[in-house]
Order: sequence, then C-alpha cells, then structure tokens
Amino acid sequence: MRNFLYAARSLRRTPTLSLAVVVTLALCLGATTAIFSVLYAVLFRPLPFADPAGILVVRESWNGAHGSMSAGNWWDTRRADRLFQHLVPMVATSVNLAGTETPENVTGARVGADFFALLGVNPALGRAFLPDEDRAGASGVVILSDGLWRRRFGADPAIVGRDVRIDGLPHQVIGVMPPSLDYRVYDEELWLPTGFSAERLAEHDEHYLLVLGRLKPGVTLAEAQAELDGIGRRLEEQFPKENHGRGLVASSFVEELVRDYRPRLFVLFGAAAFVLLIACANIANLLLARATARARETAIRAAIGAGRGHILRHALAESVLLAAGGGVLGIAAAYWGVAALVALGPAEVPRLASARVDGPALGFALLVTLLVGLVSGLAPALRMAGQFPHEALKEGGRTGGAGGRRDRLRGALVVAEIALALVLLTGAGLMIRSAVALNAVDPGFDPRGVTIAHVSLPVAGYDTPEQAGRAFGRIAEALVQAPGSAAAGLVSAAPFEDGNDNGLIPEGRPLDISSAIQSDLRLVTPGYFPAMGLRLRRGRIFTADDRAGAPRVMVVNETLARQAWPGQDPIGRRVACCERGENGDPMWKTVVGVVSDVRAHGLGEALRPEFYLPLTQSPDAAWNWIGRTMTLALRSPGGPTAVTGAIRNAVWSVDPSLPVYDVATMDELRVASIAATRFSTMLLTAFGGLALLLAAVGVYGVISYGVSQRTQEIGIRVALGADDRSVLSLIVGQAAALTGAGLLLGLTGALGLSGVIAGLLFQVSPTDPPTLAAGVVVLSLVALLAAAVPARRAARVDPAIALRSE
Amino acid sequence: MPLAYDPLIRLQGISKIFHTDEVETHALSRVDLEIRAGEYVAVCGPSGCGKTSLLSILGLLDSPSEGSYVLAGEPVSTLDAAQRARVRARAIGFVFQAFNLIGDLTVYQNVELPLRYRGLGAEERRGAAYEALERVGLLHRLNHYPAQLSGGQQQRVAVARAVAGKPLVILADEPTGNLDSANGAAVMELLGELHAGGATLVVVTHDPRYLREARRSVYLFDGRVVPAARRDREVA
Repeated sequence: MRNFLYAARSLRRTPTLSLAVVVTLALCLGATTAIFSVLYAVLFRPLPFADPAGILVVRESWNGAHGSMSAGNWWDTRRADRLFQHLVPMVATSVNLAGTETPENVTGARVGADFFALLGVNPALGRAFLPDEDRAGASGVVILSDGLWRRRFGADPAIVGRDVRIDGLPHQVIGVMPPSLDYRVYDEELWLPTGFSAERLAEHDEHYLLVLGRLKPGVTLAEAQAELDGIGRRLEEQFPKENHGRGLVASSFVEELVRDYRPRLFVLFGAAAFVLLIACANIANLLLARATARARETAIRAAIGAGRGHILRHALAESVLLAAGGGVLGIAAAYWGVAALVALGPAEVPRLASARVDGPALGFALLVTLLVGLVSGLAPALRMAGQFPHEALKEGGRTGGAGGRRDRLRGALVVAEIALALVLLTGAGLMIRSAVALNAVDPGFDPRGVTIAHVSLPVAGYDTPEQAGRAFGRIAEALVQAPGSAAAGLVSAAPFEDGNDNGLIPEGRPLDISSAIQSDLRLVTPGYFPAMGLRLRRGRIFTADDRAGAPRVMVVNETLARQAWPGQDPIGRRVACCERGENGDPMWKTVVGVVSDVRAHGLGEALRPEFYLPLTQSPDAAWNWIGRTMTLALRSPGGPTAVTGAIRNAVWSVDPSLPVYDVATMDELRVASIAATRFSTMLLTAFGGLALLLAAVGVYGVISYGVSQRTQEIGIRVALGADDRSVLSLIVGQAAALTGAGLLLGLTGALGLSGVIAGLLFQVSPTDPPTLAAGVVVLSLVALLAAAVPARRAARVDPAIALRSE
Repeated sequence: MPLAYDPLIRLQGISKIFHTDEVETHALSRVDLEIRAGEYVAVCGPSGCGKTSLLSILGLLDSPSEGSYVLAGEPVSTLDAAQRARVRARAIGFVFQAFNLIGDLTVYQNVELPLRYRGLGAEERRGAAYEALERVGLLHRLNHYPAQLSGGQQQRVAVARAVAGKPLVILADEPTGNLDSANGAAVMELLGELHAGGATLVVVTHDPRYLREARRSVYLFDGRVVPAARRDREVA
C-alpha cells in the first residue's frame, strides 16, 4: 500500500506525462473492452436455451449445398429417427395482427408443438403448444414474445386466454415467453403451430423448413449423422423424383449462427489488441525515459539500503496505478464504445443489440488493465532495479552519447510499434480497397429513386390463390397510377431480400432432379422490371396478356440462360418447374425474355441463375412459399418521402385493413447489404489511424528523448565541424533505421497474417502490393515527420551551451 | 584557406554579452588579441573571468556580440552557422577538459569524425587517423570504445582527434583538469611535442606548471585581458 502512496505522489510530480499515459490507456482499453463486449455477446454468451450446444440444425444436402427441408422429408425423418429427442420444423411467417388497436404486421414463426421443449424454455405466462394444437384444422392458438406482450398488450397479466386476430382469424393467446428469450431465430415476436395437413406432410418437393433437433442424452453428432445418412438414402429410394442426389446433414446450431461473423469479429478484436500493444510499448517507452531520468534518485534509494525487490515493487506500483487510472476511464469509454458499435453495427449480426459492458467484459477489462500495468511497467522497473548505484551516482561522466547503446530496448519497442502499426495499416488499406471495389459493383439494376414496401395478405378474405392474386394485381394497378410513380411493380422478394428458389429443368433433359438447375424464383408483375431498372437483353418482359390461362411464360437472367442453353438463344425454349399437372406431368413454361443479372444476394456474392414468373401465372403452392407477402417497388423522381404516402394509399385503396410495413429505399438495402464490410472497414481504419498516431508518438518520443540525451554529443559533433545537415541526417538516420526495421518486421507480419483477413476481402489479394507499399510509404513519412521535429531541435543545439553543460 | 598568415588570429574589440532575464552579463569586454602561427599561448585567469567564452569565440563555437575576428586573413565573426561549421572542420582542433569523446564510436571512429565532416575520402581519413593515433601511441586501441580506456588514454585520443586534420590552431580547454598529475603531464608533453612540430596552440589552464611551458600567457580578469603588471596586482 505504501508503494502505491509513494507511486501516486511521484506521478503527481509529472502530471502531464501521467495524464498522457492515462488518456492513451483509456482510449485503447476502452476500444478493446468494447470490441470484447461485442465479441462476447455475439460469439460466446450462451444462447438463452437449455444446453444450446446440444441443438443441431438438420438440412438437406444437394449438389454440395445445404438447404431447407421439405415437410415430407422432415416428417418421414422424424418418424424414422431413433436418436433425436426432438426434431422440430420451423418457418418464418409474416402476419397481420389485430385485436387491440390498428392492424400491425408482425414477424412470426410457425413451429412444431415441441419447439419450446427443444429449446428447454418454459413460458413465463400460460403454457406451450400441445400436440393436438399442431394439427390441420385445429383452432388457432398463439404464444407471444415478452417484447410483443409489453409493446402491443401493455404487459396485460390476464392476456392468456384472450383472443387476438391474426391474419383476420381469431387466435387464443395460450402463453407468453420470458424476457430471457432474447435471441430468436427470425427475430420473431410470436409463435404459431405449423398445423401441417396430411397432404403437406406428403409433399417432398417444396423445401422451405428450418429443422432444429436435440439429440437424446449420450448420442454424438457422428452417430446422429450416420443415422441421418441412412434415413436420407431411404428417402431417396422412396421418392426418387424429388430426392435423387439428396442427403441429410446435421450441424451445430450455435456454430451456424456465428460462423459468418467469427472471423470478422476476431480480426477486429485482434486489431484492438494490436493498438493496445502499441500503447503499451509507448507507455513502456515513456516509463523507461522516466526511469533513466530518475536513475540518481533510484541510486540514492539503493545506496541507503533499498533492495532490488523494493525498487521493483515501487516502479511497478507506478505503472499499475497508471494502468488502473486508464482502466477506470477505459471502462467508461467502453460503455460509450459499445453503444456506438451497436448503433453503427450491421443489423444482421446476431445478438449484436444485446452487447453490453457486463460481468465478463468488466472482468476482461480488469485483467487487461492489470496485464497492461505489469507489461508496460516491467521493463522500466527491471531497469531501475538493475542499475548499479555507483554508475548512476557518477552520471554525467566524461564522454558523450553513451546512452545510445543502453537504450536499445527503447528502440526495440519502437520497432515493434511500427511493425504492429504497419500490420494494422495494411489491414485497413486492404479493407478500404475491398469496400471501394464492393461499392463499385454494378448491382444489375438501378436502385436510385426506388422505394419498396411490403404487404402481407391475411388468410381471411384471401384464402384462395385467385383471391390473393387478384388483390395483389389490383394493388399493382393502383401503384402504377399513384402520384409520383414513374414505374411500379410487385415482386415476391426484391434484390437483397431473402427469396425462394426452385429446381428448373430445360426441355430435352431427363425429367428428374439430377437435371435440375437450382435457380432463384421471383414472382413479379410486369411493372417490376422498369420499376427496378432491370435491363432487357433479349426478347420481351411480361405484359398484361400473360394472364392466368394464357401460355405459361418466364423471363430468365443471363446466368441461367448461359447455364441452361450455353451458346444458344434461350428465347422460345421451354422449361419445367415449380408445379405439375394433374397427372404429374410437367407444366412447361416458355422463355420470352432475358434480363440483366442482378446481385440479389449481395454485391460481393456470386451471380446465381434466376427466373421470373408472372404473378398472374403463379403456381398455387407459391403463395405458401412466399408467405402471401409481396414487395412493392415504386420508382419516383420525388424520392421515398414523397411516395411513402402514395404507396400506402394505393394499398389501402384495395383494402384499408392491410398494413404496409418495412418501407425502405433500394439504396438503403444496397448499403445494408455491404454494411458488415463497411463497418469492419470503418473500425479497422480507425484502429489503423490510432496505431499510426501512437507509432508517430512513439518515434517522436524516442527520438526526442534521444536528442535530449545526446545534446552533449551533438555539441561535440558541431564543435568538430558537423553542419545542420550532418546533425539532421544523424537524427533522422536513427529514426529511419528504427522505422526500417519496424517496416521489415511489419511486412513479414502482414504477409504472415494475410490468411486471417483473406476471407473478408473482395477482389483484393491479402498481399496486394500497392496496399502494402502504401502502408510502408505512409508509415515511413509519418515516422520521419515525427523524427523531424526533434531532429530540427538537435540541429539548433548551441555547441557552446551543450559543451558548457558537461 | 592559406596556411601561413601573420598573425594567424586577430581579435579586435571582442565583447560577449549574455542576457539572462533582465540581467546583462559581460563575459568578454573589448578584448584585443593576436596569435601568430606556431605560437603556444596559455590563457589563464580566475573562474568566471571569460576563458571559456574566449575559447568558444576563438573556436567559432560562439559569435561575439561586438568586435571583429580574423582567422588566417579571413573575417569570421559574422559567418553564419554553416560557414562556421566549415571553418571549424578545416581549421580548428579542440581538446576539452572532459575529453568529449563519443561513447558510441570507437577510438578510430572518434578520430576520423572531423575528417568525415571535412568531406575527406575514406583512404585519406584512414591515413590521417592512423597517423594521429600513432602519434599519441594508441594505434593498438583503435577498435576500443572510450569507456574501455583510462582517462589519460581518452584525453590522448582527444588530442589525436584534434590534430588528425592538421588544423591551423588547436584549442585546449583545461586539458589536464580531469586527469591525475602523471597523465596530465603526459598530455601536456604531447601538446608540447605538437607545438615543437609547428602547431599553433591556445591552452586554457589553471596549472602554473603548464603556464610556464607556454611561450606567452594571456591573463583574463572580468572579461578583459589584463596587462602583466596589473595582473600581478590583481592576483595579489
């Protein structure tokens, strides 16, 4: 304790240095703790389920890809399986909720009856679903999330047993889930039973279910996979048309959840740790300078009996005290940092919103603070404790510049700083180049001036495909006539939105699944193409004549045209897809047009085959696939503010009870699609900038200190005839040597770590020579500029004064 | 620069005034001094009398506040810093009380440093440095660092560094001040040999033994050169 009191007193004597150290540490510890908080929330905080590691996702595998399951395959798998305790289907749904105030569109999930048993979560109010409630024709029941219960129903404790209207039909609220269920697969706010009919359970060709499973106690993933392999083979034999080449594959749910984000978050955490290390090196350097300056004081302590242990503890107490100050402020900064990361972070990152400076984050901050205190204080402390008192007491001896060799450690710290800064700078540079390349990608459509909105039709009043198709057709007509509309249309899923896909077989190939080209399906009205600005390459787009009963037509994208009919004209070709005739024969659709490829899954994603069907010719089953939901797209020179009202009025002119939700511009969707890259780029750039600044401060500190230590030597050199240029080149040469060594080490590090960042880059090599060169040039210039200030001071050394100070 | 001038050094009305806050200190007041080539001049006087200021001006480490300084026929009191550096490199050799060797450089590197500043080539530097080190008897120590030498050896290296470039004048500021008597005597003997070989020496010293070795001594008191008769009175 006494050591800390002495340390506090001696730190008060150098308030500027102490404040600089504390502020630097606060910034770096704050950044590291904030990133750790996000990392922990997204990757490590246990999901709010019982034994989340035991939850698996079961998918169908086909052609090397893993996809959703059909209801038939799920049902048959569940009946045949012996190793799963639960095997539960789940599908997102968009419902219109009424019952208290104005109707509202709410994201929900249809789930199997034992969904909550699988999760191991009990309702806070009421009960979970009963098996009888998960049957076709059963009366409607619903379970609410805590958030919806509070927001929509004012946390009414008597909500259980009350009826609410969902998609126009009465549903009894049977339960409310606890607030601890803060992660939900689709961010759903309510749950409904799947209620599969016998026909649906016999359907093996529509793949749209997410299936979650929990193994019986003691069963391993390998055993489960072996079981699924066997079931998959039997399904293939029983339903060869639908399941030829298909298998079943199980994987960890938690792993799937975070897989895409883990590398990105670890890179950001690594960057923050690098910045912290640079700060540690800077602080160690400052403390080393302090230790040298206080050599006489330390020698006097030693001379009057202080042991090495005493001196070591005294010196470490100072650095730990500084680190503690930085740590306290750093935690405060981390609160702000986490709030900023959550606000600026991509919405798609699971559980990002739940990130907070909690117990684990505080523990991390405490541990890092202690480590920083020890790491940055150890070298100075050892130096202070390792000095021979008589050497320090006769300091000011008879030759100049002997400090150079003694301060190799300080030089080594600067070399390490520059190396770390170069790794960060090149990482940031690569991300910037990547983001620029991504931003320059042609999305294949013109997003400017396009506003989108969503409408879901309830079952009540729109229970037949004809009724639903008619309603959307009328909405499309009203939208085209809306004020400010230059073009308007409907689509089942706009670019960057989750959509549906389907196996498509060009005429002339065997009519089985092995010939199918898995392609994205979009149901559209004719106005969609001009509204979204898709470019027509060949043939024509849809017209009003492509109505129900007319010859079935489709429009394909360029990628599908190339894959299905390489080197041939696709116009007039026929394709089987999406539905069968009454006798099971294919229903052929004729290609009438080819449109431009659209980067529908993200600007950085590969192009996929895609086809468009007129909404008026939609297969009946498609209404289930798309959840009776369509995206409205309206191109207007007036911008989104001007047309939002017009879109609502167009919808409400058809049915005033329909909620219009998720209004956005296509530009917003385009930006959101690259939000993760932009976010990582922004953070890495900030870390790179901070590293550059800290490295510059480090170089300045060491060179400046070196100049002050070498004043007499410089005086001697000037006396011997050195001119300004010689002195400048002497000092800048020292900085250049340190910088050069750091750059060499940094380049080696950057090349060695290139694999870590490779997965985050788009159209840029992780060893991109221009980026590496730019990093080297920028860091060299900054380091030399940082050295130039003390070098100029050195050149102005007055030899008469310098030599007099001997 | 011509090698032979008479006098080699001419100071006329040299004053040096230091300003500290609002206090004006006259370190030198209207000093007149001539030194011929090959002369051995001792500068003496009590502490604070201006000896070091005089040596700094002679060595172009400092500029006078007033007066003129002609070195080898060339006025040097108004030269800028770069010009003064060039003159120092070519014409002046220093020997300091504290040796002032550069601790990070070897004996050889210390000796060749002024030659490097003079712009000599590597071969020329090596030859001159070896010759100077041989002259002071330390050729065998050329790869040692100053810290590995005794005080007397360090000062001999400093003398070698001062003479390696064959300067017009060697300025020595209390060259024996940090040495024991034996080493002090050895260094002064070395300086005497240099003078015997034709070198011009200006030596600041307190030691009466070494004052006697000089052909002429200049006594400073309160920044002024004191005539011999008055000197005796001041000392008394």
